[in-house]
Amino acid sequence: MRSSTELKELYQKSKKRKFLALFFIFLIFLIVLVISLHFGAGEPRLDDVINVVLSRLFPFLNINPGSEIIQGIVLNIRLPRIALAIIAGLGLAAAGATMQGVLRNPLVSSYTLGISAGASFGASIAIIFQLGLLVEYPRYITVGNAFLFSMLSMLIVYGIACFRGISSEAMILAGVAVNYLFSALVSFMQYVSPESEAVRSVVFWLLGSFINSTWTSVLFVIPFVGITIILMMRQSWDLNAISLGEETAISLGVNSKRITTTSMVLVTLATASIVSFTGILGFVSLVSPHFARMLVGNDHRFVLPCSALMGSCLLLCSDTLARLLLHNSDIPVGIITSLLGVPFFIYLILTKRRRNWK
Amino acid sequence: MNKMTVIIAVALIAIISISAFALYSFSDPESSTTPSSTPEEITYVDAKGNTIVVSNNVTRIASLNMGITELICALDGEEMLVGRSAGCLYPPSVESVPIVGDSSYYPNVELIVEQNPEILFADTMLASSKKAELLQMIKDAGIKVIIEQPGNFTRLPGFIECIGTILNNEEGATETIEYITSYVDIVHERVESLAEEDKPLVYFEMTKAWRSATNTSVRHQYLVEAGGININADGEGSTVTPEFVATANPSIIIRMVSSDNNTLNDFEIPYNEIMATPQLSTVDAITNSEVYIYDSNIFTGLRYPVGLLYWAKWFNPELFADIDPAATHEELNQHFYGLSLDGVYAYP
Repeated sequence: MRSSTELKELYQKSKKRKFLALFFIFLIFLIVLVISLHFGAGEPRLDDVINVVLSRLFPFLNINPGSEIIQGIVLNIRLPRIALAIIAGLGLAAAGATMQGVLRNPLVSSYTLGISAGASFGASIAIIFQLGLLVEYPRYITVGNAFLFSMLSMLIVYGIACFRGISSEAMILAGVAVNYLFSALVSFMQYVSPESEAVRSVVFWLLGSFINSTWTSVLFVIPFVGITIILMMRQSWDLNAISLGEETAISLGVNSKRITTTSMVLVTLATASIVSFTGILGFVSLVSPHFARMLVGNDHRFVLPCSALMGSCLLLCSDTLARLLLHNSDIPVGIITSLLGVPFFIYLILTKRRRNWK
Repeated sequence: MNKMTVIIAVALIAIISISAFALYSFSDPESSTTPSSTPEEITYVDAKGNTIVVSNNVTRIASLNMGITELICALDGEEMLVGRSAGCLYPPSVESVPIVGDSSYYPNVELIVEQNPEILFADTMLASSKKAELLQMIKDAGIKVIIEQPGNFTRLPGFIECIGTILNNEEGATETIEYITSYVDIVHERVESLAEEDKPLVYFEMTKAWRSATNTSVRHQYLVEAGGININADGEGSTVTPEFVATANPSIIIRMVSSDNNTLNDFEIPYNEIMATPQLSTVDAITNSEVYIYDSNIFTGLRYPVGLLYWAKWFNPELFADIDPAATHEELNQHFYGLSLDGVYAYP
């Protein structure tokens, strides 16, 4: 039996190790960020980006920002795209970690509640039939529909789960059912679409991309992701309790049903706001929490930020490759995310600790 | 009676019999005019390289492509049409022809077989690998299938000739070829005089943002013919990165639309969308308002010269100052269908 001082020391040691892991991931994130800023299909390189940003932030320094085209590429294309990739990575990965924690299941992600299928359905209606709430604003008709149907699918899942009492099994099964329903509707629309170009656009959207990133999309997503991540972090102790089992959570005074419902709403808001602008970026919210757990264990106070940073790194890397791999062309980032992440994930499964979910 | 007399008698009888039969034959008016007694056969190699032998004594044909249907009607073959796709709506009189599929990509085999055409015309979508089984089912029903690209002008004259032969209207086919070629030649002759550096850089968009055409696309071919330079000619994919477009800095942007009703709204919406795209805000085409929207139908079949003239004028307005593509479109419509043109086909 260890004494309380020894236990405290052990705890402090483990805490230090976790902070170190977080710092290490943050360093990787910075390196990936620099690479993303440097490379692109256009001419601007890192020094151009720095000059443009500094000239805007500190006009009194009289830094030459370069030609209008360079400024346009940096300010209107590259920076908003990188910013959205970072925010999307943070939000999706944190949402995935929360879902896995609250449902105590390593196979769930932020899409388990049918959000992706609902969003896909809404986006398909907009792309194929040009129908939607924001029909007067064609640039945002897909975004509006995707967001609306994401929320709708969450409400359906919540409604079904309520009948069975809010349990993880009920939510997962209801999510699976809603996923199948909306997926079938998307397939049907693709099948009956009179325009092959529209079907291609739906497929591109389903694979996820940052091609349409603008400052408007960044400014829309930031408050959703920022606020939901803060609230998820505030629940991390409760998530720790729930991950020990419902009975333990109750004995510790945690209302697991309330936490589950709150988490569900937070995850939906974060995910829906992101996928509305980017399309479906599935893999990142499933694997980032696993990467995080392999590094910092099961303490959600560390899992959430670590997972979020991991998600950002993965999406930034993937998007940089998506912009560069084909000459002049953009590859859907979802493809690259899986191609990059899966081998690394399998490597971790085969070589790292087996007790992450125990 | 000696042997010689018998031979002469038999020879005389034979000559008289043959002459009588010949006279009877020449006196039959029907045999000289009915093509079925002397069907003319032609061998046609379609857009997919399939060799099809067709004759001019067919009476039932079907078409799954709008451009091909328009061509058949222009060559007076509307009476032979026993099936069309849902998208074949021009000239309006074809709406009474039964629908046998949504498009070449979605043929309804049951309806096609039920209408029993001798020849089915379709575009290359029917020849995609996903449709191989359906295509075979149609062929197994004894229907000859001709796959063609009515938007590919290099193949169009040969195809018009083929349809002319099938419809027994070779003269009409020749006149049609001459008519449309005369317009296309105007563009070719004038564009030939242009130096490469005088040609504008063009960013072509399909119906959705960032979806462009590489040099393997038929749209690239149009663009070059009309005297432009495709910024994505050597691209490796059809979805371009915004950074690439901004760097290329095209002086003209063209967006295709598939408009059902050809209302102004169908063209204004994509125009305003492109003009307001933040990623393109520094591009010359936006700052100079050189953004154009066109209906994909103006490049189909007989209307090919209309599309080409529009593009040529957008690319080099001074070189084509005397050309009014809208007037040519109207004239072409009057010439082939005796109808006046309604709706918007290009914007602004």
